[in-house]
Order: sequence, then structure tokens, then C-alpha cells
Amino acid sequence: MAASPDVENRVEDASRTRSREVATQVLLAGSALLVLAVPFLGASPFFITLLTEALIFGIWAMSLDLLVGYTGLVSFGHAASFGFATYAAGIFAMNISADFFLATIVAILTAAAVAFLTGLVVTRLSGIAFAILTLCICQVLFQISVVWRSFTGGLDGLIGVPLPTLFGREVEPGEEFYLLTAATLIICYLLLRRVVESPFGKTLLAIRANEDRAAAIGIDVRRHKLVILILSWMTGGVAGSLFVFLKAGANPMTLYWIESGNILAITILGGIGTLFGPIVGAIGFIFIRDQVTTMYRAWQFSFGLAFVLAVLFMPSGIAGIAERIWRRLWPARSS
Amino acid sequence: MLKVSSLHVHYGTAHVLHGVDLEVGTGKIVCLIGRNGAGKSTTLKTIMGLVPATSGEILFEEQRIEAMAAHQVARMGVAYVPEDRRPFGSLSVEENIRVAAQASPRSDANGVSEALAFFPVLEERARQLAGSLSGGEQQMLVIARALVARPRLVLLDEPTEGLAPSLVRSIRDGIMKTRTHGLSILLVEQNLSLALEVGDYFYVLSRGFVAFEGTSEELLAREDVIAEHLGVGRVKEALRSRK
Repeated sequence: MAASPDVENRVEDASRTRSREVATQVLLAGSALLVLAVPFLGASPFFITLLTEALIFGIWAMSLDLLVGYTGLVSFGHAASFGFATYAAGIFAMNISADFFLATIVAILTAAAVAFLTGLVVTRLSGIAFAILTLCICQVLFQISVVWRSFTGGLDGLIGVPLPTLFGREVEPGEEFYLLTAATLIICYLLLRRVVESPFGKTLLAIRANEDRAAAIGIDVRRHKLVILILSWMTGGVAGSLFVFLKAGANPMTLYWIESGNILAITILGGIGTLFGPIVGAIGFIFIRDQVTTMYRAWQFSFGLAFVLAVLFMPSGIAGIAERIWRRLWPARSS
Repeated sequence: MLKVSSLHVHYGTAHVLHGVDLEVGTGKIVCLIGRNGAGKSTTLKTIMGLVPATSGEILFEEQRIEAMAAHQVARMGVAYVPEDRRPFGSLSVEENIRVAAQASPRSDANGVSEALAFFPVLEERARQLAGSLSGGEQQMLVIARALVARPRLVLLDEPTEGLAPSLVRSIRDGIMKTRTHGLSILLVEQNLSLALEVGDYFYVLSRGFVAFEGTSEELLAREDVIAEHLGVGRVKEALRSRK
């Protein structure tokens, strides 16, 4: 058989793939170090606060990527995971304890509980129906947060959330809080990376490809969708908890549908199905928003335009372009 | 092992299956033939639980399965290879099979390598992305993916449609191999000569009815059935394949 040159080729492929994998690990480790080193590079307090917000959005966008990128479920109500958790963590911090771990666990558990209830309904659906129903559920939560004044503070939201404490010590706003956020982002990234590379993650990709075919080989599609929805919301809950401490308050607008749209745009712009891309998308979004809002009021127009152009000319997002360059630097095949 | 009785199926208001009865015995290859739109694929999808039955009964190993969801039917030991022959393109060949193996309670550690061994070309391409395979290789992968679950019944929907003759032979060899494993197969096939080669028993479906059932000899003796429900050209083709 003429298989032998082919086999040789594959062996080469494997070693080249491995060198690219090593290079990717180095790049990721380098990025992580850079993110952690920012406060020591003489960055301004304003820059650090802005980057903190960007990294929180990065965690949130990664959580949406689990649904959109890895399972093919386009959620248009992902503000719910985040907004609901800001209230849970905020109310807990104001009334019981400002311990960051405890408040975050409360936020995660609350998000998981709401995701479970939401999931009982939405996991029957996919495509447009899934998007619309998640949007509706998010709007219901938004209305509750506005109307239930005694508990949520109505349109004023929660005011006066204390500074978080870590091991009994108060976390200073600015550099300390930034480091806490950066460390949380890195931990979330590593954990989610393990999830998407696990057999469970591969099964999600099968569901994304075609639900019927996945079911025909024995995959319980609904159960998998429910599990990933809960996991996604729990991650969104981590972001919500950080956010309420960053802003020292919560606001119903974090549950509004425009936020769902923003985070979806960030995730798609960054590159779905990559985990890393949405973080880059979030950093880009926060900094562009900061620049253009000071220039003119219709800043959303410029973001919308950027989004349309990006979808037209780089459908796999920023991460897709980066990956293409990366593959060219570490080609899989000698030619 | 499989017994379908008076199965009715509607798509919306369209009445697609009008009381189909059929049976597949253990270790048998049963062919479902007929023109396009006769309801062959719908029959398979309904057995699998992907299309709901309006009425009727489907018994698999003495258990009623017509109300079960597809993944439950799959876990009982029924595998389905759809017509569109699409593997999960963003997974590698091996991962495609692994995903199916995990979902199956009957598969074990050797399952993946055994399934790959069914079609030698898949072993060579184990780490390649499934989306980059040729049409015939994708078909083989989809069949291998179904076999990894160690099913007792395989529903095969037009496995050779649009494939080159040499690939048709590989697929046929794969189907013949399953015989030695004691598997039952319900095969939908447009290629009559292939069906006659591998099949033990035949059902001719026409507009949602079973128009004929019998062995290959009985079928070949009924030129009228072949001409009316399968097309005139098929008679000669079928007879030629007998020689």
C-alpha cells in the first residue's frame, strides 16, 4: 500500500503539532504573567480600574462562550447570570459578611439555582427559540429587580456594598483588587480549559454539530445542555461577585437586555469556541468604550459598526485571526 | 428482535406512514426499498425516536420503544446511521468514536479501537479532523461510530448513495462483516443490486404502505412489483446482479 509516506507525514505532523502546543502554552503563561505584572509596571490607577472591569467582563464572556461557542446555544439573556449574581453577592456582603470567598460562593450557588430552573425550560429548545426565551427570562429578572424595592433597592440598586475581605483582611481598591480579579480570571480560564478539553467538552461539540445525531448515538442532549448552562451561569456568577465589589454597588441595568447584547457581541468579536478570544474581546470592548464615550455620545454606533465589520470580515473573531497567524508561525506541515 | 405494527406517522397534517408493519429477526439483514418519498427514512427515524409516532407499536426485544426519546432508544441497543452521513466535523476521527463510546453503557475500553478496525482507512486517519475526510470515509466513520456502542440493531439509511463503486464495495464488506458479529440490520437502500446481495428479507414501501414483502427470490419473481414500485430499469439491473 502507498500508506508509508503518508504515515511518515503524520509523524512529522505530530511533532510539529506538539511544538505548536508548547508554543501556545508559553504564550498563555506569558500572557498570564503579563496580566499579573501590570500593577508593577507603573500603570495609572485609572488604567488599572479599567483593566479590572475588562478582566471581569472577560470572565463573564468566557462563561457565555461555553454556551455559544462550545454547545451552539446562543443565549440572549446572559446578563441574567451576571446581574443576578451581583445582587446575591452584594446583599450577602451588606448584611452578613464581606468575605470575598463566601460572597462569591453565594453568588455561584444562586446563579446555579436560577440556571437550573431556567434550564428546565430552555434546554428543550435551541436556535432562535432558545435565544428569545433566555431574553424573556432575563427581562423578567430585570423587572423583579426594579419592582422589589425593599430587597433590591429598585432602580437605585444596592448602594454601599463594603470592600471585600480576604482571609480577614480588607482588599484595597485599585492594585490589590486588580490582582484578586486577575488571579480569579486565570483560575477560571484554567478550570474551563479542562472542562472543554474533557470528554464532556467533546460531547458538547457533538451536540453543537447536530443535536439529533448526538441523540442518535445515545447522548442525553437535554442533560448535557442543563449541565453546561449551570456551569456557564456559575462562572458568570463569579464575574458578578467581582463586579459588585468593584462598583461597591449593584444596579438593575446589569440585568437589562442591552447588557446581554453587549456580552454576546464581545464574545463573538473575541472569537467563539476559544475561551481566550472572549477575554481579548472584553478588554477591547471596555477600552474602546472608554475612548469613544469621551469623544461623542453616540458611541454605541461605533461599536455596532465595528461589530458588523468584524462579523463580515473576520467571522472567527480576533482569536481566529490570531490563530491563523499562529499556525503560520508554527506550520503543521512542511511544504 | 424488532417488530413494528400498524405504525402511523404525520408531519403536521401530512399523513406519511399509513400503518407500516415489519419485522427484523436476530442476526438478519432486512432491506427497506422503494421510491423517494415512500417513507423509508421516516420509518427509521420513527423507530429511533427522532420522529414521533401518531399511533402504532414498536417492540424492540419485547419492550415498547415508540414513546422513548432517541438517546434512550440508543441506550437500549439501537444504532442509527442517518442519510446525511455527517460526522462531528470539529472532532477528530477518534474523538467522534470516543464521544459515542462514552454515551453508550455497553461500550468498553477496546470498543474504540475495534470500531476503528472495522474500516482500515479510519485507523490511518484516527487523528485527522472528521470534517476533512472524503464522503466515503465520512460514511465509514459514521457507521463505525454507530458500531462502537455495540448495538444489537443498526438502522442504516442509504449508506452507499452517491459513492464511487470502490467505496460501495468497502461499505458492502463492512455490512457483511457485521453478520459475523450477530448484529441485525434494517437497511434502506436505493441500490437494488447491493440490497439483493446483502439482504435476507425485503419490504417494498410505497406511499407509506408496505406494498410487498418477501425473500429475494420472491421479489425477483415479481417483475410487476419491481416495475411499479422501484422503476423499470431496476429489473434488468437486479437480474444482472444475480448472474
